[in-house]
Amino acid sequence: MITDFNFKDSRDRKSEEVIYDECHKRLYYTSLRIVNNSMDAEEIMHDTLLTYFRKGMVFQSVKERNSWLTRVCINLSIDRLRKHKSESLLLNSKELKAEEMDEELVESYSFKGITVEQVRKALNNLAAGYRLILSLHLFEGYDYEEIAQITQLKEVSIRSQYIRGKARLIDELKSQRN
Amino acid sequence: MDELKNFTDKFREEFENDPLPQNHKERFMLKLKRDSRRNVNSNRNRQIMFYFAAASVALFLIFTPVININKFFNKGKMDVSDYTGILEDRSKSVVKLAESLNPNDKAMVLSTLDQLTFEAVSFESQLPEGIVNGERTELIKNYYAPKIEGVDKLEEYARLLKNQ
Repeated sequence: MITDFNFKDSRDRKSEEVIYDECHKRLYYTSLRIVNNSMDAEEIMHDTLLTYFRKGMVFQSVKERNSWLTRVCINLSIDRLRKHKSESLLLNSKELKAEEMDEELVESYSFKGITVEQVRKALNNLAAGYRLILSLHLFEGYDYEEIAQITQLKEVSIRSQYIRGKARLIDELKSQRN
Repeated sequence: MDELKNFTDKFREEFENDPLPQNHKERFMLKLKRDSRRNVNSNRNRQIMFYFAAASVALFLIFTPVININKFFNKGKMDVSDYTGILEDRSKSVVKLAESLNPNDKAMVLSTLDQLTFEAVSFESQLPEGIVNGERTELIKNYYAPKIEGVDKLEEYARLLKNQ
């Protein structure tokens, strides 16, 4: 017979702090790459962890927990982009036609001699839609199908946006070199 | 071959070596403190609701034999196994509902269910020997009917919590 259960605040502050120390950096950078603003990224990282602690969720493994946290962080970051009325993620027809030509140039580009700082600067200068899709694929490891689910766009659009985004990034890198 | 992917995979750590905004952790700990305080108040409210619900169930169990004796289970003679079967089915619904609640609410609902349904000694074994059938039927009904109605009310309450 259950006779004792505690209605006090059952949250363990110490372990919440440990989880913060473990997860905050990764979540911050996940958000920063999408929203491109350090204050927003910090707020989103905080909100992600507060949501986790509030819900008191239990996971089978650390990996499962981290996947959940990443997903929440990404969703909050996308919401923040939409709130700031950032550029639409949809391609227009002109860009779709140009895709084939860009793909060849993009695939042949060599990153030899390119620095991390240059790529980071180029990513930051991209339009929000391209930056989001490149971040999700390059840094979070999602495939086109998963990104389509997250962004609620069609998979074919995601692939096109990814290629166009890479092309824009390469243009940025070239103009940095010049 | 995605050269850009290879590049970002190779230098992943370098992409994340800029320091975070100063005092980020202090700001978080403040938010956490505020959030915990809200949580404690919310838990206190739930505690009040629980005691109110438990008191309502207790009052119901005390007064129901007088109030509802003719209303419930007028389906002819029912024996202990009929009532325990119904009680078991209704309890399963409550347990299933409780699974979807947060840990505090779940514990509260399951504890109340336990109080309603637990029998240290089975009722049947407490019935006096040689008791006439009509009296036996009436005693069994007066014992189990309030329990079943109590579980039904608990189910309503759990549903309310779930939909909050």
